[in-house]
Amino acid sequence: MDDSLKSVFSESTLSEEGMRALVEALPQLKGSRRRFQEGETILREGELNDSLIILMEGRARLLKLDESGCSLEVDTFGPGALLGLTSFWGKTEVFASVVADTEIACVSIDRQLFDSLTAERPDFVRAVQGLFVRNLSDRYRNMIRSQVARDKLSAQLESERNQLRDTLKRLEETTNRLVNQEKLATMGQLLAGIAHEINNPVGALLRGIESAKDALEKAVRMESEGEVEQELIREGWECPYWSPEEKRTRMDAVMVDFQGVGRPMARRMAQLTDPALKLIGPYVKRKSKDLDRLLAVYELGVCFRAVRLSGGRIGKIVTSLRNYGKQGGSEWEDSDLVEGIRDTLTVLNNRLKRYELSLDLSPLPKVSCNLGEVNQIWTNLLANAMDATEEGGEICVTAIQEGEEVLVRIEDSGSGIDPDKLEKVFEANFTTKNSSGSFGLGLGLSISKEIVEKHGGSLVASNRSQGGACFEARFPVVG
Amino acid sequence: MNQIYILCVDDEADVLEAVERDLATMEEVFPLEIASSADEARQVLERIDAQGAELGLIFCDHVMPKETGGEFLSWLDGQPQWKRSRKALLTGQAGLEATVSAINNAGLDFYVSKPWTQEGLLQAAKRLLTDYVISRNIDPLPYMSILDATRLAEHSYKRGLISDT
Amino acid sequence: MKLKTFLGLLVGIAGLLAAIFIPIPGLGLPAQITLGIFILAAVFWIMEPIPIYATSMMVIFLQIMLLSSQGFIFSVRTAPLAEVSVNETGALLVPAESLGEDGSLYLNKSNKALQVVRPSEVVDLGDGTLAVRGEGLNENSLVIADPEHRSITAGATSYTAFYHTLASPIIMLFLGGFALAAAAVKFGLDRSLTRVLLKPFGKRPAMVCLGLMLCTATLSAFMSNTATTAMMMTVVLPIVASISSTDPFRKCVALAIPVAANIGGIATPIGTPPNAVALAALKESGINISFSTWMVMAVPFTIVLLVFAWWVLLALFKPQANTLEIKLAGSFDKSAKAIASYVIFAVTVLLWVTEKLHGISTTMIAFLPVAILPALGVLDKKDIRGFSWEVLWLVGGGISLGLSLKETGLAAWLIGLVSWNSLGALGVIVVFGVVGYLIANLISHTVSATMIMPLAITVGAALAAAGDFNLVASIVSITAIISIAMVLPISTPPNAIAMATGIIETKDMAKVGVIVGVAGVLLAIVCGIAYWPLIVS
Repeated sequence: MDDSLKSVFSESTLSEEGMRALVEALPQLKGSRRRFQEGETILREGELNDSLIILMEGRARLLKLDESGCSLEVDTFGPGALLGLTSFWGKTEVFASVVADTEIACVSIDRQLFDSLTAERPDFVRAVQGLFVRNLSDRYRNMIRSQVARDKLSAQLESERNQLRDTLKRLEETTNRLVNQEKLATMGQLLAGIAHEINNPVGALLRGIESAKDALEKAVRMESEGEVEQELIREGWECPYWSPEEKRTRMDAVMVDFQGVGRPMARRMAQLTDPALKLIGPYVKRKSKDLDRLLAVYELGVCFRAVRLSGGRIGKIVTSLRNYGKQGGSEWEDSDLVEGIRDTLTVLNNRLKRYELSLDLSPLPKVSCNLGEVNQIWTNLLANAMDATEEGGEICVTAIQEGEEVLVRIEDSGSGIDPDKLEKVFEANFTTKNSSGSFGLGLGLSISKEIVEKHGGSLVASNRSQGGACFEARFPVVG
Repeated sequence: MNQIYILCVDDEADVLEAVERDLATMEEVFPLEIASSADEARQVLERIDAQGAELGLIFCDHVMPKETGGEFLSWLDGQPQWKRSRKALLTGQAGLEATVSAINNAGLDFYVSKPWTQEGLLQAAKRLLTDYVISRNIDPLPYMSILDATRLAEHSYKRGLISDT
Repeated sequence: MKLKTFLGLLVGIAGLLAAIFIPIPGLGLPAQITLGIFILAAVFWIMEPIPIYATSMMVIFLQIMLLSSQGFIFSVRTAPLAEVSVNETGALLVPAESLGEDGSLYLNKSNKALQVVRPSEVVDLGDGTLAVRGEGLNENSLVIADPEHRSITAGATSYTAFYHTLASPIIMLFLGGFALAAAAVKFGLDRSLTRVLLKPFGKRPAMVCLGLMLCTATLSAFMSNTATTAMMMTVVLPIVASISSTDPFRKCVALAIPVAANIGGIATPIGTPPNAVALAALKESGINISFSTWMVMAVPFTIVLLVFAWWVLLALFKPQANTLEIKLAGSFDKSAKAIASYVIFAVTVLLWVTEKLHGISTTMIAFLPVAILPALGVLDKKDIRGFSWEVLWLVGGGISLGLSLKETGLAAWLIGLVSWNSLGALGVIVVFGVVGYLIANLISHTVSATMIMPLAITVGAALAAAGDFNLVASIVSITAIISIAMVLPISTPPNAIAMATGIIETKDMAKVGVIVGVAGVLLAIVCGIAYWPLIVS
């Protein structure tokens, strides 16, 4: 009897034979056989358990409620499993519910029966104790195993997550780049559109003012003798912009040559070109009544000239804007880089005029490129140079041919680049400050480098010996 | 009677010429000077100072090479002999930030945005110079015909600037 | 330095030196020095190398230094002292020459002032020495050796007499006027009055013009002509701006103000500084004129001339528009201090015009506002600093110069160059009036009065003594004539202000100035001969 039970309880769970042997060996158990239907709860979490259950047939699931009240499947049991061991033994609440997965047959040993068995069969006690210990230590091993598995799993998860993040970042960069390129393209179209819109009235303006001048000449010529007037209009039309210094000198000279002339009159006369002054001079000396009219005629010419020159200036700016904004990935042409550089300089003039700009742009052979994109490089490099240099500092732009390459060098007298970071500056998110290029178009050095490389060239950063940074872009000459 | 100058500073010759032309009518009373940079303006001011004359009003462009109008006016405001001169910024470019900074640091009295009209410019000049003449307690008679005569008359009788003789 | 400034300084100083050092028959040294100062002042006042008030200050300075009995020239210290001794009987032995012809001895009292002693006993010792006895004569007496010395014969006045002119009752009268005017300006009484006074005149341009003129004249009778003009300009300029630029009425309005202000100044003694000069000159001759007497004489004259000027202006600058909108914002200041200032103003003027009833003189009452307004806090020290002190200096210098002209006999000598008796009262007024009118058109009215008045009063006093000449009427007549000199922008500050507005041209001003001026001169002469003598005898 003793030995039969020893074999029964030598495992951590009971085998089928062990089970049969147990039930046979313990006739008291016959009356405690029970059955559960599928889905029926055998032990309910949180309730007190008063019996030790030995699963005879069928399968059961161990379910644990999480914080939100959902039950998670923790384990499954087959025949021979011991259920409610800890709660029965420790007289504690059931830790996890057990629910029948199939129809189940089991033996339920309640406390009374257990106590009587313990009293009647010392061998049962020993066997049960051994079984319990083994069962528990089994559970402990399982726990460690699952902990290890979990750690491995979370490490794997972490690396997957990192991968995902990198991918996301790259995606974002790509999107940004695309957006920026789109922005550029839109900007280019916009610029071209605006340039066109402005060009029309400017053209009309320039034509109009020329015609007005010609008409005026004819008008004064017909009115009287009119030779002096005609000449004055022509002189005014060609009058240069006097610098303030020249203006002062001329005013002083007028006040010396024509005694008694006040400042307002001297200022008007200082505007006169030398030939015009020669024409007007006698009228001043005679204090002629015609003087004011003649000066007004000359000033009309000067005003026309101001309109003409200012209109011309608008025209030039507009042309530069249009050239600068030329966009579109497919538009590869054999282009003159210097033209592009000049356009860029015009567009950035407003900021650039606060710096000492020195240009060395020699005529270059053509380079096959997308001029709009290449102009972006100059914008970026110049914007960076201006950001890094204090106002009034020096910025040099050099364009020369070196063998089969065209070299464009942009230098500044700013703080230069930390030698450790010379390589890093071309990395995607490298920045030393929250700089945005003019018009917010600066795409960063990484994109500049990308563009240069797309053109089969190279972009290199270095520090000048006398301080400041130097960027050199090389493009292959069209073969 | 001290000469009271108007000084215009702009780096662009065409703009400078236009401003000069618009203000020419003031020159019957207020001699006009022009300069194309802050440095040149300083030289002109030195000459004005050497003559014992005063600077009543300065119109200064903001966006200029080397030294912005805001910076120059700020410097001017720190000079005792030019502190009371009226200062106006004339520009189409400066953003709100530059304007606020100029008002705070340069004692800016007026802001003219480009493009300007001659009438607007003259009105501003007259108002600012009236302020100047009043603030300096100068005998207002020589300036009455060209500036705000009502304000000058009011000032002169309230302050008893001219009396029976 | 400008050429004009340099010339002014040069001619003025050269005149001073020439008058002192070139002997002039019939003139003593004090009179010659006075002539020098007079020439210097006249040149400086006319050519203005220095401001005219500065010239007045300079006059007083030159007088105390060169003319006073303590100055460089006439101080008793400059006289030689006689050697004196005491004989055994206690008599003082002095050189015979030191005794004056009238038997007086001249002593340098405590080395400062001249003391005249008439010895009770004089004994000729025969050796050129006299033994004298008398009160105050002892061995320490500083006896002047030469009784003919200039410090004795010149009869120079003490320097304090020149200083006193700065606190003369006439100056105080003006100070009172200044205090009243300052309070009126401070609390806007002038503007408020203008608003009220203009209302009854409606909207017709001609009537508006008359209203403006009466208003201006009334205010300028109590305030400075210049301040009134400036104030009225602030009222008028917005009106002018609303008139079409081709309407001649613009000029009419712009000219009406200075014309009315100049005329209005004649109405009261405190109206304009030349009145002060005239009052001071009369006072020197012992004649005091009350506020009310002056007004009874001057107000009718003012009103007649004002209406005439109005008619002239309308005739010359006929308004085109039919109505004229006048918008005058504001209301009476009703703060306690403002009301105090109104009350003081009213009380002072009331006391001035009722002098005959209470007998307190105009110049004494003038100190009432000076004392009370600051005491009530109506005027603070800033307001007091704001008074036109330089006008008081200008008048003070004039009074001081007049003093020397009279005292040294220079005025009498100058007058003596012309035979006045043959001219009669009419001739005297015409000559002084015309000369005064011409000068006053070119230089300051106060200065013109300062230069004319001492001479006029000397002639007048001489004629009055001979009978058949009314001194007061003539002087008031000449003063009025000087005040209506307003042909040029430089004639008066009100004219300068009106010109400065740029609304009128010099020729407009000259046209009106000549017509109104000539009419005014004629009216003043008629009044001086026929009307005013009826009021003052």
